[in-house]
Amino acid sequence: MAIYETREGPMAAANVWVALTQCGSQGALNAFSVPARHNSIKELWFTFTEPVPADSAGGIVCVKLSGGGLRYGEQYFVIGGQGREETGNSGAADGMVPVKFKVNIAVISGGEIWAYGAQYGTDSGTPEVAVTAVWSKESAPERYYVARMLAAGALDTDTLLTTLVDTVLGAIAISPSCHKIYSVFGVQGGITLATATGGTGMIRLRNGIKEGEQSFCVGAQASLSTTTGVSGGYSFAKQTMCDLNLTGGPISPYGCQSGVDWGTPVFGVGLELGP
Amino acid sequence: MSTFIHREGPIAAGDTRTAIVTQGATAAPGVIKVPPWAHKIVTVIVGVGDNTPAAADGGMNFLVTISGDGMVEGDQTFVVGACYADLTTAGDTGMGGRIYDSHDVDIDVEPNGTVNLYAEATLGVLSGLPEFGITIQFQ
Repeated sequence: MAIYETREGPMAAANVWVALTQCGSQGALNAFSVPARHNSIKELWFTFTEPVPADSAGGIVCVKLSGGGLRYGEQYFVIGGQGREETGNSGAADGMVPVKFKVNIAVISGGEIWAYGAQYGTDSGTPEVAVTAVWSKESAPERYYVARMLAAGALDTDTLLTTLVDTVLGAIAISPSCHKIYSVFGVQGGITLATATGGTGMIRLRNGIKEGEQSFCVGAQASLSTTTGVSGGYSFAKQTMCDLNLTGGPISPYGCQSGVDWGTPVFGVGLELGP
Repeated sequence: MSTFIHREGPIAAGDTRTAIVTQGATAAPGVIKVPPWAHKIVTVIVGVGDNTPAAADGGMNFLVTISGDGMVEGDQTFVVGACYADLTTAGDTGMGGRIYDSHDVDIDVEPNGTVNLYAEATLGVLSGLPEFGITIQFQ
C-alpha cells in the first residue's frame, strides 16, 4: 500500500532553490508531513514545464528534499532538461510524462520534508516543477542522493561537473559509511542550438570507483533550425541501476557533448550512494 | 481478477480541480463503484490532449486526484504530465502529444465504495482546453 502526495510551484531565477509549496487548486500546503506509520519514500515522480519560454535559454532541472523528516539528511536529484533556440517565435510545443525514480529514502513518521526545485543554466523563464512522493510503510536502507552539474561547451571535451545549483562543491566526496553506487542519474539540457547540429551527451565517472572509469549516454539532440525556425524541447533524466564499489576517494563526474557542436549543453549527474 | 474503468473529459481553467465524468458516447456513465472483490487500484493510465491550443505561450503541469469514500487512505494526488507551447499563429501545433502513460500504483480501496476522478492543470498558462482520459484498474 502506498500514499501519493504532490507539491509543485514556479521557479524564479536560474541557479536558485525554490520551495515547492503548492498542490494545484489546494493552494499552499507547504512541506510534506510524513504520513503516520510510513517509513520510506519508495518512488519519486517529477514533471516540469515552461510557461514563458525565453530565446536561447535553458538548462537542467533539479529537486532537493530537505527537513527533519529525512533520516539521512538532504537528498538531491537531477530530473530533466530544457533547451530552446527560437528566432521566429512560432510553434514550438512539447509534452512530457512523469520522470520516475525508484528510491530508498528513509523517513521519520510525522516529520516535515520540504521539496525544492531549481533550474540550473540560463534562465528560461518561470519553469514549474512538480514532485510526487510515494510513501511506503517499508523501511529503507541508508542511502544518499548526491548531484553535480555544469555547462560543457566545447565539443568532445570533458568538463568536470563541480556545481550543485548555487554552490561549487568540486568532486563528490564519499561518506565513510558508503561503499557502493546503487544507481546513476544523468541528463543534458540547456542548449544553444545552431543550424544543422546535433549529437549525443555523455557522463563519465572518474576516480573513486574500484571497477575503474564508468561512462553513460545521457541524451541526444538534433536541430535543423533556420532563421524562422524553432527548436528545443524536453530531455529527461534516466536512472541506471548499478552495483559499483567505491574506493573511499572522491568521484570526479564529467560531461561531454559529441557529434556536430550543438552549443553549450548543461550536464547533470546524480548518484545513489550507500553502504 | 481485475477490471478496467475509463472516464474522460476536459478541464476549463487552471488551478481548478475538475471532475472527469464522461465516457465517450456514454455521457453519464455514473459514479465509479469499487467492485465487491477489489481491494486495490494497481494501474492508472492517463492521456492528455488539447483540442484548442491558444495563440500564446502556455505551460502547465497536470495532476490527477483519486478521491471518494472508497479510498482507504483518502485523496491520492500525483503528477501525470506537463507541456509547453509557444504559439503565435493559427495552425501551430499544441502540446507535443507524448502525454500518455501507464502508471503502476499501489492504492488501497474499500470494496463497494465510490471513487471519483479529478484532473487539473497547475498554476501556469493554460494553453487551451486540455482533455483528460483516465483509466483505473481495480484488482
